[in-house]
Amino acid sequence: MNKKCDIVIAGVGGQGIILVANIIGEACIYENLPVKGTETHGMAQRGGSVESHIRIGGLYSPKVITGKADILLALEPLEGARNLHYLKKEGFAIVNTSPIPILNSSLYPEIEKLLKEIKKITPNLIADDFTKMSLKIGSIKVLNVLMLGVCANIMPLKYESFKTAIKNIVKQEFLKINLKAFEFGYNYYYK
Amino acid sequence: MKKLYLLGNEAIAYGLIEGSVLYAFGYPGTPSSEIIEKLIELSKENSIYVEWSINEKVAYENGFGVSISGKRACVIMKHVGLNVASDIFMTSAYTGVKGGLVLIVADDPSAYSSQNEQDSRRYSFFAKIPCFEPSSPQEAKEMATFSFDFSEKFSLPVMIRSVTRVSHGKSEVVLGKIKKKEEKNGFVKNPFQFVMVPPYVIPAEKKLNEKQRIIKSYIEKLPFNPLEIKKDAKIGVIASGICYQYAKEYQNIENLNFSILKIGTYPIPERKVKKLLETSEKILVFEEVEPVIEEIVYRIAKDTNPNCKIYGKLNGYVPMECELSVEKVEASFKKLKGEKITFSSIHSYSSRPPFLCPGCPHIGSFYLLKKTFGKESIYPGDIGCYTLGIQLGVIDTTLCMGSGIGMAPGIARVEKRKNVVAIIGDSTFFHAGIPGLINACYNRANIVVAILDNRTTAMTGFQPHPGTGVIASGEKTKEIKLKDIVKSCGVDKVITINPYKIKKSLSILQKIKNKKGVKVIIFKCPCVLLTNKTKKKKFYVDVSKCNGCKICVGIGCSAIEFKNEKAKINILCTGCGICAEICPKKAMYKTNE
Repeated sequence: MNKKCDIVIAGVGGQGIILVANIIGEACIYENLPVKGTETHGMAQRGGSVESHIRIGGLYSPKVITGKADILLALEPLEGARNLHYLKKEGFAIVNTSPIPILNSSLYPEIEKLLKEIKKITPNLIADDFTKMSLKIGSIKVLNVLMLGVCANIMPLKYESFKTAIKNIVKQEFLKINLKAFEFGYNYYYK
Repeated sequence: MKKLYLLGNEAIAYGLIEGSVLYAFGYPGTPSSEIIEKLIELSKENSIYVEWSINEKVAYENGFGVSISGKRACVIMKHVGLNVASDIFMTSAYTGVKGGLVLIVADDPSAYSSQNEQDSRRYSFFAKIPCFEPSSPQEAKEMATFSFDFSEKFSLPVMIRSVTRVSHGKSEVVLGKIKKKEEKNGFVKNPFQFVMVPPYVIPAEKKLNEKQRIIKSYIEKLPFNPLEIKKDAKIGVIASGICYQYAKEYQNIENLNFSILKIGTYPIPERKVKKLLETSEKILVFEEVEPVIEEIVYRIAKDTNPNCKIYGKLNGYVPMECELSVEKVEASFKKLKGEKITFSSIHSYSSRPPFLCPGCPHIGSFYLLKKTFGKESIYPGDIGCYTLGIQLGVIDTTLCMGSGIGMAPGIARVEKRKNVVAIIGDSTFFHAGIPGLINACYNRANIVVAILDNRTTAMTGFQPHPGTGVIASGEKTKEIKLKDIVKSCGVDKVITINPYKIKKSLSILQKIKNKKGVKVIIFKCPCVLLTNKTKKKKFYVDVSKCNGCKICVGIGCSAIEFKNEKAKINILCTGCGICAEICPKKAMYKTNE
């Protein structure tokens, strides 16, 4: 298995993107893999765009290089499209199709159009309403870990490492629902 | 050895502790805040004192006080914080220190959350204080530890210049052991060293200049500046801090044959630069933000190898502004080969800028200010969440901490017919607003000062300040009351209002609107995120009553949308009720649940 994998996680402040990156990073530690990452948040905790880069097997730059990401994990469709330039041809895109409106909602592009743009780069697109699935599990707050579960199938890390990382990072009171969401996402991939 | 996945800032905190720091002081500011936060977390088991100070100058003064009393201290701030601390910073190089004194400054290339991207390395040269620049979280930790010994060896403060991609970069970090150090005796009176009156200045300066010479040669032996000379390489790269990682990555991808000198210290290792110059035909310099190294390389090249061509920011081969990346390093190499650089055009989707949170009390404050003083008034602003009021047309200036109150009288002396309303937050007021307010009262200015008191330092992650009655550790302390301070600054007219209570507040504001002198309005209401009290009862719009006037949409609450010519309240509603109070058609109702 190739132990190198560049991932860009995109979404909106408050969606728990940094938690996802931390789980992946922690899992790398368990498997003794080098790892690099970085976040661009700054003022973004006030509902702005957030992007987090994580490089399994990364040795130098914490930032993913344009056109070199193996995986684009988008918790929001517009934010996915916004970061599409990172994705390499034939890379994997996992995209939540449930939008979070922008201030001038008339400027929000059609979801279908956004997905079409992504398909121009890669046929490996998994697009679905993961928000809906998270709500079914019990909370919109597990969207991040649910989508990580889907993504976990394509990352060069063991299933058990993810689970241990979740157990060590997620607060005790939310652990059960997060593990449930992760497993749901993990199994979703095979459906 | 314990290995953890850490943020650069967390790694720095561990490094400081491994360097047996005993006291830490700082003021919050992105991208530096997590260092103090991590130190607070680790403070109990390591028995260190950690403090959120009122501002960076006072933080540095505290650290200096600890140091000249023989103990190790660190002081932490963002780049612009050093402007505030620069007064004592400069002279502390003259006096020197006793216990190790380490200053950590986090620069923000690209200005992701800052008012400028000034390069702190310039300050290190300005003050003749040595500086380390880490290239990764691991190295940041090691430099933090090492700095204390270095500081004590040369009796000088030491600076560590981090940047966003190191402070907010992450990687696996191997922890080390805490170095035990010998105890120094406490404060010993020595006016010759610590009282900088004119007769003692020049001797102190001489000493400082002598130290420079010794440091310069000492630095050559440090492990932070590795030089790799490649056989038959015509190009030599000099890269500092995080830029070294970008250059190394590009070298690995393209399998390029170039020599490389990593710069991790200032002064830079000039002998190594000479060696590189002697073996290269071309030199490429990568650094963020200013051409600090490049300028020195030009000087050295003149004596060493005048035929060697130097490429960098000064001749347009490396961009002057913003952080660098592997892509930008690639572009420089391409330009060197005479190839055209085409940055692939990136999408044109509309941006998603940060905005005030739904239920933010500032939304009410801005509405009240606009309603009372109108669009034509002038609103000098300040630094905090409320800077986002720019989107509502209520912030006309933002330069530095406390500058709104400072410049307001100046504007008012010219624009005599207009209201000048300075807007400042509670933490910022304590930080740098007080002298400006006293000055305005003393010199008989005609201004309004709005203090948006949300009971925390919200923008940087809810750090306490003197007005909160809580210290860094979370323990209770004396609350320094804003209203008392404002009064004792000489303000005659000070009122406190609740920004959620629109109607009541409007009538109070009308009464003071036309009064002469300095008027202060304290908008007191805790940050909506701090209280975490999303009320169960939210609001909805009765569409039959809504006439689509858009007044509620205009207040800037992201819980209010406009669909099919009517207002619509979405799930983000926190139930603050501002929209219901201002709706002329009384179309907003509370949900039953």
